Amino acid sequence: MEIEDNKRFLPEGKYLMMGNVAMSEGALAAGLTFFGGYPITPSTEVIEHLAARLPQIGGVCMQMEDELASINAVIGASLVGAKAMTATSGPGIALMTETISMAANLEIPFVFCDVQRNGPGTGYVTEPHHNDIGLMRFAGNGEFQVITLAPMSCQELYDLTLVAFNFAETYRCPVFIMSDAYLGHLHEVVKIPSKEKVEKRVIKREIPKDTFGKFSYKDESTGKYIIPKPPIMGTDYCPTMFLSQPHSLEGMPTPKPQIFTEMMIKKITSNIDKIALTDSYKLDDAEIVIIAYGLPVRASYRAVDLARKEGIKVGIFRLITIWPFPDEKVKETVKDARAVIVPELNYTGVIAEQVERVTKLNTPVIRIPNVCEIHHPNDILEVIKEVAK
Amino acid sequence: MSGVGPMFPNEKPENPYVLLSYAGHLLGNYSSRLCAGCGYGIIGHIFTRLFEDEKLDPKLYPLVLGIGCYSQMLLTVHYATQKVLALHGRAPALATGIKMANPQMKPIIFTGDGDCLGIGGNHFIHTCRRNLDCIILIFNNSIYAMTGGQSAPTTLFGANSTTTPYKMFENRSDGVKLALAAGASYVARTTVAHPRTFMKYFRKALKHKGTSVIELITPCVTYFGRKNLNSLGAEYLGEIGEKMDTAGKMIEWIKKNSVRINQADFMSEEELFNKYIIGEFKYEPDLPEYSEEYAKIQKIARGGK
Amino acid sequence: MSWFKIPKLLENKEKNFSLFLNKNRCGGCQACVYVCPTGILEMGDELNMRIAYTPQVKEGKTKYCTACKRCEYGCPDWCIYILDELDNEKVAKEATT
Repeated sequence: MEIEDNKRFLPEGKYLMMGNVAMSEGALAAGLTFFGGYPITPSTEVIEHLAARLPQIGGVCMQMEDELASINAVIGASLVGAKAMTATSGPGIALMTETISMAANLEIPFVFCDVQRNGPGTGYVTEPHHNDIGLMRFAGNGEFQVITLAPMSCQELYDLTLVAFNFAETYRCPVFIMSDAYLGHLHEVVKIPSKEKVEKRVIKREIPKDTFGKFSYKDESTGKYIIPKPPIMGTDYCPTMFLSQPHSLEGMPTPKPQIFTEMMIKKITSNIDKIALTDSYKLDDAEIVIIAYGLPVRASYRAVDLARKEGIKVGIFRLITIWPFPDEKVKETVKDARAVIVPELNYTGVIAEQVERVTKLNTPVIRIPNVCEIHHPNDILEVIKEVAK
Repeated sequence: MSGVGPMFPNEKPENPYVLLSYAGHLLGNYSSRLCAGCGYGIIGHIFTRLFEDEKLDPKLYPLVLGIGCYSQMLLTVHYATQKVLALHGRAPALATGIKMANPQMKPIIFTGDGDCLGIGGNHFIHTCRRNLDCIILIFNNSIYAMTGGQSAPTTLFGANSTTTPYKMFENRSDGVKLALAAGASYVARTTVAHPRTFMKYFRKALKHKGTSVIELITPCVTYFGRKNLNSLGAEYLGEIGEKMDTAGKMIEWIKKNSVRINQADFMSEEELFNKYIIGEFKYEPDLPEYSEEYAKIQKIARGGK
Repeated sequence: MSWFKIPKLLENKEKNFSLFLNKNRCGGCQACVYVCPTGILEMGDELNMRIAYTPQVKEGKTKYCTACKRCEYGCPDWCIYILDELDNEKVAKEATT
């Protein structure tokens, strides 16, 4: 299709945008040409904004008859060389899991935005509840690894969408962006850089010069996993068949499923130092560490400032990449700490369990669960003071 | 190439079309894993001939297959085609994504009766409603053969299958009526015993812009033919006590039970009870097609008219 | 690599076509027998490598074949076929040597 790029990028400057709209603009800047979706609160603004913007630049935005059709159409468009994404909420992911596992087997790149809402079942649709983290990790039958990113502000929703599309093109696995009902509808100032600066950050979809191997494989001489660029149907760079069974690097069935399953997981975990993005705040001399992601981080910043004024040594280790979980970095941060505090917007504390697994229960891990209500800084401050006594 | 199939001695001269199939091209004289007498062997043969004789460009005609016994066709059709195996029932939705992202292509979809009218009924209805430019071939053998012979939405009244061991008593679903009600623009039905008619309809569908739905009645000898000899409902099927255990007998039975549209207009409902009506039901070449209408929307959005 | 000859079931010298049958690929489904409009095929007595009976032409009926190709289109295993000897001279020569 002809893509007219003169309207794709917004002019440079500062804009007041909603979270969902910032994410759509980030996707457009990353090269989106196909969007297939189904309206579901709280992610309806994504498809409404893109339905007006994508035809202006020659792309296609389709509202399909259900979630199953929308994710299958996204996979079909990605096979033909278009960058594609979809946006939905909790009940939508639950329906799409079979297709996500098929796309993981065939290594088809796509981006998935999950604007979480209260669950299980229908739930309160306009309340945030980080309850899909486990579903994103095990999104479908079979064993495979996914990448999940958790932004905390509208500016990060714009920037991390660009990063998500780059991860999808490089590592050819499902990439999830984790947002929620409050963050999606939050209006904040977003600073958009100029067109030249954005274009430099984007990895394009194109046919490589060296067309050996269309699917990932292990190079026996170096022991590294080589991930070639995704094949494009309708050109010469395409295998004879796309069959979602354990396959060799040319697409033919292979007699050793164990090597294939190992490749599915290790091609991501062997590159974890490039994928695991983290941030830290006043961690140099901290005795108490707060590990947080998403919306609760904003309250933790205020709580840490108030606690430091009273002389308590506390710092924040923020997770931007949640899956694959950065084991080594967390172990390094937590080894000298007295206690770890994990405020989360869910009850069971999914990430707190992962921290307990990594520290092997040598450091006490304290959860601050909160369902459908955002944390107040005083909640976190009280727990810090409890621990510091 | 272990586990792919039995290899027979290379005999010469070989049918010139056999070496065009993917299995013949790379693996030598290789017999497929289909049952002896399966109707899908006939369809794969005819499709490969058409692909070669019409000189279709494999980059413009991708194949999208569903799950079923016809998934074997990945290995037995023309070696130059580009194929995708979709999930059970989701082939029309995947083809929608392929077509809209690259409007020059025309996907050819292979589905079965359970795949298209059972689990994938919703996607089939909406693809026909949009009148997307593609060809949908429904292979109707009235049973779920891949998993061992369970009843399908299109199984004939009174038939025996593993999940209806007494008698099949549900109303039969009709793919042609569903396509007509949803709005497809070229609808036809034919059987495996009329191969030249199928080639004529297929050539017409290649030139037609819009959704073409061609339903094919095929025999399944192992699970439908062999088991329905002495069942309770055998009188409804038109055979009592005769063993339908070879493809030849099943093809004759299909021919006996097919009625053309012109004849069917004069027959009563009781006479048409368990029969197949064959022929062309609808042909309208000028209905608006989805990707062309979307191109007009793109022009309006850019500021044109 | 030894190769076997594919037997010719019948040969028509005036119109220059022959009917070939690849015995070892045949599955014995009898579709060609029932589809032939002149009814000249019947099943034989010998088993092939797939342990199935293969078709043969009835006694004295070889001149009734009209080369309509219905058996060729109806075969699920792609084994019985008509070859026009004028178009396929090279192929025909391989068969007779």
